[in-house]
Amino acid sequence: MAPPAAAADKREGKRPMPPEGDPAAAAAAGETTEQEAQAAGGAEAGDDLVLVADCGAEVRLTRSAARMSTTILHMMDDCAEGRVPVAGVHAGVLRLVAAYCERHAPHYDPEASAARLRDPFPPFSIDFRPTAHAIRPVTDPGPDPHGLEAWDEKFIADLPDNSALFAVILAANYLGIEDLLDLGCTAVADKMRGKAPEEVRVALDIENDYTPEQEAEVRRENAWAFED
Amino acid sequence: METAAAESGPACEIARLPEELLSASIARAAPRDACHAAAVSPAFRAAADSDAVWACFVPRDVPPLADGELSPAPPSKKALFMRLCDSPVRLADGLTIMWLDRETGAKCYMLSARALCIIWGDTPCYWRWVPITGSRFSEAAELLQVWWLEIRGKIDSKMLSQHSTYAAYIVFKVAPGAYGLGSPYPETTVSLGGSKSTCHVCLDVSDRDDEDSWWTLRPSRRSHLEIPLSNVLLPQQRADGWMELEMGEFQNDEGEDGEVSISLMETSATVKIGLVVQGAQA
Repeated sequence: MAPPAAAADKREGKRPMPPEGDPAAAAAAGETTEQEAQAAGGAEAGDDLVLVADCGAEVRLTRSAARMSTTILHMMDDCAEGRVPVAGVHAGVLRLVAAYCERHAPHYDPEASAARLRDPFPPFSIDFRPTAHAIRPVTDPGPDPHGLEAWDEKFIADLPDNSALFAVILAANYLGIEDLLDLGCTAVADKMRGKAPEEVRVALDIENDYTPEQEAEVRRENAWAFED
Repeated sequence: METAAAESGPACEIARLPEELLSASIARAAPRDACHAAAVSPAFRAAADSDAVWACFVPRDVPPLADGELSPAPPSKKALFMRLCDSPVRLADGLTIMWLDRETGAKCYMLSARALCIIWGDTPCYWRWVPITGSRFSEAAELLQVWWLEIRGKIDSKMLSQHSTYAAYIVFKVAPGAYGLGSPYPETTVSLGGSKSTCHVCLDVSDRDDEDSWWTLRPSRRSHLEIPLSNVLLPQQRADGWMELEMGEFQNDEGEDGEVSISLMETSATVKIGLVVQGAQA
């Protein structure tokens, strides 16, 4: 388990989103009093944890869901009254993360997660015919007995923008939730897959700070990828 | 660092992701996507060219290579991947070469003719071994004449990439004066475990029974032409001057123990002449 200083490094560059003009924050602010009332009402039932974001907003999380986060797993026994402070993660993002953990906890397999994280490529079956080189995701959905894949797809699709996706990835990284990190990184990969550089910039809101000479040099270096 | 990020504003949100998470994302795309990513921006290039990404694309289990195949050692994982794609490496057994498919990172192999089992191949009046150039192998098997044409090959399925569909090919040339290679159509089979695919192939499209030619004075081969040509696999010319002909496909899933067997047979009473076999590849 990384010491807190290293954990802070992982969140380098991430700031909690400013409350004004941010619908997730407004919702969080609106619900805070309700949650505080619940917490005050003695809801530390011993089974549920309360994650406390920087702004004071609280997000409830069952202990079984909490074990998906290696960070929380190591912290929860040391926390008074089951209240776990989670620094540097916006309350709205924390709520999303908690929803993910609650949905996935009953089917959590730590070994499968570790294996997927260790060897992410290729993330789908390869159809290797000489005339059809385009890699494409498995279109036959295959068995999804617990509906997790469909839920994950909706989870990603419902994120309002790229900023939210990156925030989820950063939070999953800090909290050590391997499956969510895998899901988030795969979502970014999906936004890049099969696209030319200009299209990737549009899809991920990236500014092109190459000089024309530099860009030409990179394209030359990777010439095979730019010929059809 | 944190202050700078707060002041950078909404442009380039992705700059908030540390390089290792960007690399983790690119590693879940494909090699071609990683090369495109390098052209997106300098920050992307650092992540996209990193060993963290290309170590994922290089197969973890490359079979033992012949001595000196990868020296000098490539300076980075990306260079290693490209090296393995651009030119095949010889395996330690000396009879097989391997390369990677650049789009998928899948391992491809070619067995030299010496690694194949050619029935009657050791009988000098039927087959002989000839030196060749323009190939990583030094010799090929040349068919002088035979009635029983049967060539078999096999490869351990553990050497292949998992969750991949492969096709097997025979790599060959048709010598001048060849005969009997066009029809009757040889039958090829490709099998792994319980599944097997069978195809008919034509080694020489120019050698087909032409009802107007004087060859019809011989016993007709036309009974075998009942298989319509549309169901027959035809050879393709390669850039190096050899032909390659698909023999069938197979699916390698979890890498269960087993062997992939491929075979090409034409054993009817027609003489065949003039096939030069370089090897078989998957």
